[in-house]
Amino acid sequence: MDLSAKIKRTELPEDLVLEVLTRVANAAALVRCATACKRWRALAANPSFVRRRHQVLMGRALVADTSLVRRRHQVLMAVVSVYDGEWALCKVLRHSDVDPNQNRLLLTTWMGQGGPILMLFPELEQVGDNGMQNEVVEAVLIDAEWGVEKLATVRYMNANMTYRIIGRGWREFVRDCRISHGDRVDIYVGRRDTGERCLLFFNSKGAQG
Amino acid sequence: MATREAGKKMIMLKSPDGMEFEVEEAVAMESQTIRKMIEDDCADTAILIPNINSKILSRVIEYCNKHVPTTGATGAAASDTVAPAALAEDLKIWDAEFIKVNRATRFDLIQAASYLNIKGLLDLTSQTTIDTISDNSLEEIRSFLSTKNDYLPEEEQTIRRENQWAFQ
Repeated sequence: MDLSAKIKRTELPEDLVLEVLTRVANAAALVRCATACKRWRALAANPSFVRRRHQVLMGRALVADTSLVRRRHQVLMAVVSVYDGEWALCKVLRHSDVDPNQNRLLLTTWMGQGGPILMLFPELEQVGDNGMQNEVVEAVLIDAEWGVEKLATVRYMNANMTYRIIGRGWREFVRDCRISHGDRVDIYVGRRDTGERCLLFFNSKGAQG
Repeated sequence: MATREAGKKMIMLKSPDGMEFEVEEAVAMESQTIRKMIEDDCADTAILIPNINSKILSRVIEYCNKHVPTTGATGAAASDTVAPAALAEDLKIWDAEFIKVNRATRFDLIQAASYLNIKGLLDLTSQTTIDTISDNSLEEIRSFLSTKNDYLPEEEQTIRRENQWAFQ
């Protein structure tokens, strides 16, 4: 007799499964959870889930984060006239991100918290007649430490849940800020007093080797 | 609005299996759901808590008892007089012991915390659950959260290949 088959499994309702999933801090674990079934994958890609998760994680970070790093970032952002910069995500860059021939930085919503990007650029979510996100927006890429600013294009693709920063601006940004693969970049979003929407990059060289 | 006496006002909570729990109003009001009932004056006698059996309800009350800001003889909140850091550390250790329960009990606690709207308990139970499965494989996650794999084998292979870094 297989007794285990007779024991009724306790199940969580879907809204509470989501409640649990918003607390996954580890991006790889979130991908694994989201791959469990089609429904979760769709839920995890939904901007409202992304935002909710960001709120939960940021709420925790604000309580737990005593490091000076974030404060240093805030000070540097003020230097370039961004006063409400909000941390969006971080990525350890790959070869393809800094390759001058590819000309693009790929960011996925898995990397954490794409929420603030969509809040600053809501038009990225608009779906065109062909069912795709066609909107592209211009953003100023800023590295406050190197004092480098470049104009680039941002695009959000719902189909595979990625953001792309594309164009010559990105290539020049990589060159001028001495960005190389293996660097960890923290990306903040914010608006200047002139109204320009900015993506602010902070590079932790060698943080990940 | 319920009036506060010099003595502690007590509230009766009833579970659907007929058990009654007498708790201080302040403890019961750790639940935002119950707080709302009390503030709307719907709680003159006893409050029936549907869907939460006595075993789980008693654990929930235990949690609220521990987490309610206690009042000293002077009426000042204890958290004002005790060093907050020491208090927080004490609570953390207590929470870690409290949540050492099996999977079914933890799921029941999540549902109770959600229904009764007790943020601290919902945080604790959900976070512990996700921490339990974060390092697990896909198959273990499916089993733990009781979800069915509805991908075709080739679809799952594609997703795994595209997100290889997450499965290493």
